[in-house]
Amino acid sequence: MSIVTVESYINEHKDIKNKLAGSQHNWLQAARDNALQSFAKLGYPDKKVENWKYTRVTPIAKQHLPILLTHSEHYEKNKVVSLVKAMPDCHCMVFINGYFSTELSLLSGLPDNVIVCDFLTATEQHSELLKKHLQQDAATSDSFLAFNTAFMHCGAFIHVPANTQIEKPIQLLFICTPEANTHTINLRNVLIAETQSKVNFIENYLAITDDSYFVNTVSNLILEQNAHLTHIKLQNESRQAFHIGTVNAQQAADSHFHSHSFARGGALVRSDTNTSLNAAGAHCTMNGLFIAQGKQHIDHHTCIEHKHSHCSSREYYRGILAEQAHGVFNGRVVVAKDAQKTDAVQENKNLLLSDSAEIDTKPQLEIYADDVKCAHGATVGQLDKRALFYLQARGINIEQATKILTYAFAKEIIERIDFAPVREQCENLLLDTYKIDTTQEETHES
Amino acid sequence: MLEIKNLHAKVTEQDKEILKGISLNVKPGEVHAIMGPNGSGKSTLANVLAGRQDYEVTQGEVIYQGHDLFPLAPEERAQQGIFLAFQYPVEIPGVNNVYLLKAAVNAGRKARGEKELDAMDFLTFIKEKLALVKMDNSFLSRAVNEGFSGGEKKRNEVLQMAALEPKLAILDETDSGLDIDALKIVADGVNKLRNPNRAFIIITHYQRLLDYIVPDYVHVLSGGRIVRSGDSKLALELEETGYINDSNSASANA
Ligand SMILES: Nc1ncnc2c1ncn2[C@@H]1O[C@H](COP(=O)(O)OP(=O)(O)OP(=O)(O)O)[C@@H](O)[C@H]1O
Ligand SMILES: [Mg+2]
Repeated sequence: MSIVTVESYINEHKDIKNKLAGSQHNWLQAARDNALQSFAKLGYPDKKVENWKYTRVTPIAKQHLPILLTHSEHYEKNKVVSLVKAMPDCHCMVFINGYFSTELSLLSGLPDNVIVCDFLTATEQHSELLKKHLQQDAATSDSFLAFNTAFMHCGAFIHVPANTQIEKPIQLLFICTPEANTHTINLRNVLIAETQSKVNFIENYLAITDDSYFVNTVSNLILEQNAHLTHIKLQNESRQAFHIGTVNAQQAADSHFHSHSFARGGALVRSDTNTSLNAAGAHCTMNGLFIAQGKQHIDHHTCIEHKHSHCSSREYYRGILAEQAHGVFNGRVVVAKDAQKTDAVQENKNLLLSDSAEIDTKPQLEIYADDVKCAHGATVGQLDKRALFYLQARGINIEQATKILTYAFAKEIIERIDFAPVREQCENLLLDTYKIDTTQEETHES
Repeated sequence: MLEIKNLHAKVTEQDKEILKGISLNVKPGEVHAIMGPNGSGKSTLANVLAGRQDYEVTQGEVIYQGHDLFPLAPEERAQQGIFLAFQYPVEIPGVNNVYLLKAAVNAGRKARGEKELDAMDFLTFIKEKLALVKMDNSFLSRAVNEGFSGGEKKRNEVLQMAALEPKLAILDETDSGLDIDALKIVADGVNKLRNPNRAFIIITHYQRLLDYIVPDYVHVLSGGRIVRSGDSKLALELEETGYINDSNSASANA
């Protein structure tokens, strides 16, 4: 079945190839063709592929979900406007079913030398920069990366030149509407922070539909020397949607990469965050929280490659699985032979709220250097019974006590996010999930 | 108010019996002190009354305010006025102290059909209680017991007790680990809460607490049984003689 699907994408590629953004560039077409060949060769991953051991992609593979090639016109603009407003104090690029909407975006007040545009504009006006920074090689080993490269067309291109600091975060707001139904929304973002620059990105995946669609998104992050880049990914797709995403960062000396990944939506989700610490003094933190209910399947993979000495990494991921949900966490930390004085910490904690909920967690530490400080741990558990009884003994019923402790477990990760509007959005999502009233927490003493 | 009749209890899923036939009658307004050696079952008794699942009642009954206590869930017992100050208060990271206090107070009010307090009213309410245990406001915004010193945890239990205004308060070694000043504060707090409608069961190892809170009755719990009962003078006597020669009276009692 999936072979038939692969073939139908190969045919689709033939048909639309010349309509894709930047088809006038031979290098881009060659990259697409190579990637398509990889995709054809790899097919869809099954459980024999180690990296996909716990996640079956049959729901995606069993049908051809065509690429949306036209701008969407018919959707409820007021809903989109309120989603933009829901995240105050930031610049915002709005994408409807993948397509950039200048009209709905808020981009005033950015420094003049910063480039903020969509993928199409980048192929027209900044093709040299795009060519330099678009990461093409990874596409040969992973089906969905290959697919993404073969059909690159939509997405964001942001270039922050050296010594430039952007104060307010830039939000990339990806909204799916009913028109996305049974289609593929293929996104490729290229985000570049040059030497000594500072920028914060929020990738926010939302839907104003309950339909099933497929988002395949790849972000290439480039951190040049001493760049500070924060990347927050908020995934709250429709509960019927498939979301496969990869964030790939490359870090030069003394760069700081802060990644947060918050996953709440989607029926079938795979979200990867990878970084490569390529020179001394580079540091990364990766925080993540995934919350799954019903029959949701949410898989997170992270990979931190310590390729050079004197780099550090901190990773904190938590999962909360309720009902029949299935979670996967796979965190790899690789310390290369020459990466002496590496300092790496990884922690993964998971909460199972029902007997039928499941988590597969696999921290992988691969150390080839000898002078390193590495710590890792993974736990899977239920709520602390002593704490539950303590709350009950104060008159709080068991359901409420469960919610309060679950919320507290999640909050420890959310509190790591610096930007208040995102923190509040995540908290509200949690409160909504667990239906708790926390008004007393707002009452601060001055 | 509370009638414990021939209560036997064991650890759930184990055979070991810990409480071996306890009978105790507590009337409104009374203060009962329970003393006794380590491991004799004092905390177990307190926890069984509060509804902890780790223990299973195998015999006997407990009547609270005229009704069988055991069908009630722990939260229902709390809502109906039973309060346990834990020997080892639990740290709950991520949950604000004030949030717990408000949720607890409002759960009780709701159960009694009273109007719940809003955030502002609650703050006024809780500040009075803070003053009672001489804790400052900063404790409100901290996570429940997290990073609290031993003495601060105990005072936080008394704060919760003051806020919940229970009918029956069981204090399990609330005096352990307190310095002299804190001991006085806790004792003052308890004394201020003493009234004709409220009863206290105070578990302690030390006479010095009972110098401040003078009990109506003192019981010695040993090997899962109450082996001696008397008035406040019994505690003074125990201070002198210890528990050792109580074994005789144990058999005499049985
Ligand atoms: N959950 C449990 N599992 C196993 N044994 C238990 C459990 N709870 C209590 N016990 C045992 O029951 C006995 C009574 O314990 P309990 O905590 O009631 O003593 P205590 O009188 O409060 O002692 P202390 O003065 O040291 O606080 C002890 O031997 C203890 O080890
Ligand atoms: Mg005890």
